[in-house]
Amino acid sequence: MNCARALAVLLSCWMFGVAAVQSASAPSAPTKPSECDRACLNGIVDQYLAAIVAHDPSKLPHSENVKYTENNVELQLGDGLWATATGIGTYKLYMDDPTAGQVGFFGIVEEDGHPGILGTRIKVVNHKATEIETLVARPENPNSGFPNPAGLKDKPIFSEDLPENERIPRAKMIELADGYFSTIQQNTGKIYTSFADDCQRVENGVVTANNPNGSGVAKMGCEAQLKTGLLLFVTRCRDRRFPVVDEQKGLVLVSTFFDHSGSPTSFKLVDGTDYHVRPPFDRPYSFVILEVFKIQQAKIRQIEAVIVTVPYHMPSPWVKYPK
Amino acid sequence: MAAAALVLTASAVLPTRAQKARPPADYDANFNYDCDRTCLNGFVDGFLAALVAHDPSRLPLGREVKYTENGQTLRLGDGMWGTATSLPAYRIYADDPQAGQVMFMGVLQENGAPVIFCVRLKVELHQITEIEVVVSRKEPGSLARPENLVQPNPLFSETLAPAQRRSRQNMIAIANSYFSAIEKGHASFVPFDDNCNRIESGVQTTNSPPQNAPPGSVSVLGLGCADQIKTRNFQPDTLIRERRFAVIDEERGLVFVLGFFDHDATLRSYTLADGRTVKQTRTAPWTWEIAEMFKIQDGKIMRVEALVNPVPYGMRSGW
Repeated sequence: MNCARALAVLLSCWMFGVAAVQSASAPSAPTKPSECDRACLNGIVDQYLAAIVAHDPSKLPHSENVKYTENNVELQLGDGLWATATGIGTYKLYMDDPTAGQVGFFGIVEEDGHPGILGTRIKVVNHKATEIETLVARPENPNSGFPNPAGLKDKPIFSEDLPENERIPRAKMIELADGYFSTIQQNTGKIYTSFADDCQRVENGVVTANNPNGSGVAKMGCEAQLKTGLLLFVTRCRDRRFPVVDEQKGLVLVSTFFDHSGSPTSFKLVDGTDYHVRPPFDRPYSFVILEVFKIQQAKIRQIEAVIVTVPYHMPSPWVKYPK
Repeated sequence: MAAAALVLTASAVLPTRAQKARPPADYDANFNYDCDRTCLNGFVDGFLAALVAHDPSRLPLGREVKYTENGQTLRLGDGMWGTATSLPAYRIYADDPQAGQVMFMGVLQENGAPVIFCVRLKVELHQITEIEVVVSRKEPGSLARPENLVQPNPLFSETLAPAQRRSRQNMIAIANSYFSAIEKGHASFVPFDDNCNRIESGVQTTNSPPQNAPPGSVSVLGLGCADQIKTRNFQPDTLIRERRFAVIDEERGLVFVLGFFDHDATLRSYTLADGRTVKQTRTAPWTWEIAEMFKIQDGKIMRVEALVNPVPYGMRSGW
């Protein structure tokens, strides 16, 4: 992917204005905590990583009917990345939700020396993985620039605990994350969430908001970007799920899709400026996304996403659609 | 991606998951679909006109028409209904009046960019009940070279003399043998004509002039259809999956097949029949969605022309 495409992709976090706001679907939130605490959940992730590199699903404790998806396709355990992963990088970001028995992870996976960005969600029941939802964002070639695995650097903010007095209810955390996508979907410039002034976003290893070394839109902050109404070419923020809510660290992991219908090819920004949609956003295609939000003082402070291109409007294997 | 990559990436074998040829879905041999070749081609032309006009209301539709683009179910009016901008010049039709189905391959413009486009229509009692679009665009990971598709080979529109025709089941078996040969790595059971040639997404991938081969590559592009398979260069193709023999045009000797080529990327290098070693450059699993047409004359494969589109590994067809 060339720089122009990378820029286009980084601009893609913005939504078409006429579609209705999607309400946040309820996360899996059992009334009693699971028996798997943070250390246990992280251990499951580590076992998963070791198992895929070993090409051996038996090294991961899993239920008999575990469901595994890779880049939005249901596969057998042992297929796909299970057969090609050769190493795990040093970048590791864990998100733990002992209440829901779910854990999220972002990192780097190597396939015969070629790094890709790994995002995964695992549901744990009785100390066994019952659901594994994995995305692998792979550069088309080593010089593509997007995804950029080398761009993922450790950000201590993701692993810092929130002070007790800064923690907010799970529902409020979800509301803030959901409001981010509603803002994009509406794309009127109205903000449906709260951003910290220094909010920054990283997508596939590229800093796409509040980038101190960037220019244009990438240099703008999260809120300033969304106030432009630039993302009209994102038709839908679809099938939002909020499977992991890490109250201790203030993290929400979201699974969603951005649909780009490819039309219209021009529109006006909020300030009245004409905007002409450029490739690849002038053709129908979708992103499947795992995106984590760090919430501090009830504001979004840091955003990080793993994004994979899929056919336009591809459904989620994790969503039950009405017949 | 160079065409050589496609040629060099077809076929390891998983015998336990061997694919069987299936006739067109929902084909009822006793049903009179009441739409001859002219009628079916008219439905294609009407569909293309409606698509470019971004107006599905122009189509005579069945009550529960199903529409897919690249395997995903969409509502009519979404997807290419908003982006197609001009009618195709390059046109190949395959008609199956007996099954009420027609398939079309062409090149049209999408917001000014050429794309390779296939559509299958099912027509029952003069109403469209199924629309299946497969489109390949010039984008990262794609093989598409729509600019190369200027004039279809005349063979695709030539009517066969009755003695040159074969039964529907025989035509399906011949087309299926092609995919099985790729999976198995030997071509002795495929009835290729000596002059067989293949074009994939606008790239000639058999009998191709040497200058088309990427420098330093182990290229088999210069070989014919049979000799290429005999080299065993398709070993990285793990599985040719969900083969659907959607349209059988007995009069013109055409079989239109939809399916997937899965590559699990576990084979890091492999040895060709002549002893040369090929290093597999792709390190991650990938799948090609294909729409592939065979011209069969006197029981032999004369031409193969395919649309090849990258999709997530293991993706299903939607059908």
